[in-house]
Amino acid sequence: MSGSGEKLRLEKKHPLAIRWFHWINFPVMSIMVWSGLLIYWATGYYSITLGGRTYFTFFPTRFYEVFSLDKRLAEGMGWHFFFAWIFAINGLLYVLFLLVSGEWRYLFPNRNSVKEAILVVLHDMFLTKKTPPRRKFNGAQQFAYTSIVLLGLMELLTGVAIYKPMQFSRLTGLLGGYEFARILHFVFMLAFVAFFLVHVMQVVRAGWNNFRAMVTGFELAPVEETPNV
Amino acid sequence: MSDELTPSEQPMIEEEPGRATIGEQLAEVEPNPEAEMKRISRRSFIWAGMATMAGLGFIRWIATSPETDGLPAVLRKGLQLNESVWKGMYSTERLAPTYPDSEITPNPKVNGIGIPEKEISRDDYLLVIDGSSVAPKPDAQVGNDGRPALTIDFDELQTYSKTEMTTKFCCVEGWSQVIKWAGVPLAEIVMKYPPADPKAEWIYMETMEGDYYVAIDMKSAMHPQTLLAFEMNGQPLPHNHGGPLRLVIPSKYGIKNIKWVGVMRYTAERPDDYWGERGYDWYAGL
Repeated sequence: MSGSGEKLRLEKKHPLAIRWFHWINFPVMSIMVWSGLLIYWATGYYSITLGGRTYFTFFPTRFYEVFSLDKRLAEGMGWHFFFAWIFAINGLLYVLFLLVSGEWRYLFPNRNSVKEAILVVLHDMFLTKKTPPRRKFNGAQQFAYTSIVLLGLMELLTGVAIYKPMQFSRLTGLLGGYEFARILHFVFMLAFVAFFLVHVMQVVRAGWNNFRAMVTGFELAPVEETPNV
Repeated sequence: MSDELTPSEQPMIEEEPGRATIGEQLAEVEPNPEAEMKRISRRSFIWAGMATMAGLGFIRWIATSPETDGLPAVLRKGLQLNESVWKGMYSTERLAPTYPDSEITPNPKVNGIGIPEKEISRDDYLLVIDGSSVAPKPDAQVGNDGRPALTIDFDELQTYSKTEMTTKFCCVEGWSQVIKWAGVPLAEIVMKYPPADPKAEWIYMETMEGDYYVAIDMKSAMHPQTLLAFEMNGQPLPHNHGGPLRLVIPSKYGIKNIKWVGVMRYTAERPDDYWGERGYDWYAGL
């Protein structure tokens, strides 16, 4: 990042609390997905079927073998219902912090976000040379990061709905009933994993300075630029 | 990852609205931002390393904690914590949703352990009740312990309020099906034959041949939808579904819905539970 004679300054990017929430969530979410799959294995019958033809079965036997996910239902439930608390508490504290600290202003999309998000997507697909504005979060990031918070919330709600379908029968009903809420829980998990993969790719592309900011809180930025909003 | 700049090592800088950012202020006091970044990074990554070690240690500690009934002790504690949360919330007034007959699952799945080899007719069937304050009739059959046993036969079962309900049966494995049951509320039997020990908080039930057994907490047992069922989808309960008499308890996972109930026993201590001893939750409430 050391520019050739370019004047750099330290720029505060991510508050300490958000860095903790972020890094705690990573292993916790991983354990939730893994233990969720241990549970799903016991009756793994979801598939993509259109007009009587099955295109994909979740999951091929090989998948369970590679990750040794089979015959571990009790273990899966033990981990899932323990780490669900940590996931929920960490997530709720994160949202609370966003709201109280005003950090939500960077994260939630605003009226410029749509236009900007389109530009970012075109840029990332090498379809335009115009570079997106250098800000803490651009429009595409705002949509992505806000969606992932909502996705986390939906995972929590659908999870509760299928964990205690009698105690929370109204919630389960709102989410389309026990079976449908279970499918939602599964689909949202897939979306979460997809987000994770894209997120890691984008972080790799954005480079060390950006990644380091999620650990240290600071980024090296050219002095000329206006500091983040 | 966790270090904010500590006051002792950093110039005292406060972030103020409308003023320059910390970065800009730092740029003024810190002539070499790259060296400064290095310094911050070193500290942050040492923190990150320690946090990672702590996290991995935490997970390892859980995974390697000695097993309690087939589950690492920490996770078992977690299940017990959950149990106390949900037990605290439990109300016998909250009912499991019921369904119209049109939603009944055709050909309900057969699952379970302990099927008796021979079919048992209703005429030969007896439910043994252990630990009640009600004394058995003097002419009663002799139980396993050599004393007269308190028993209920099918004729007596018919004297309780026959209850029909169409509820969802949820298996821990993740499948579920809607079934129409008919039977009598377990609560009525508990009222008629109350436990001798006022501190009895559990009912233990086992199959007629004793291969399978469950622990049911008293509150769940007293729920109006907890039935000793003898009909399924309008027919006498088939042998492979637990006939002549099984427990149906929609507030619990399928594993608690014990078939071919032979014995029910009141206990103050948490009784044995087949799947509870094999890594599953003792409570298993829905």
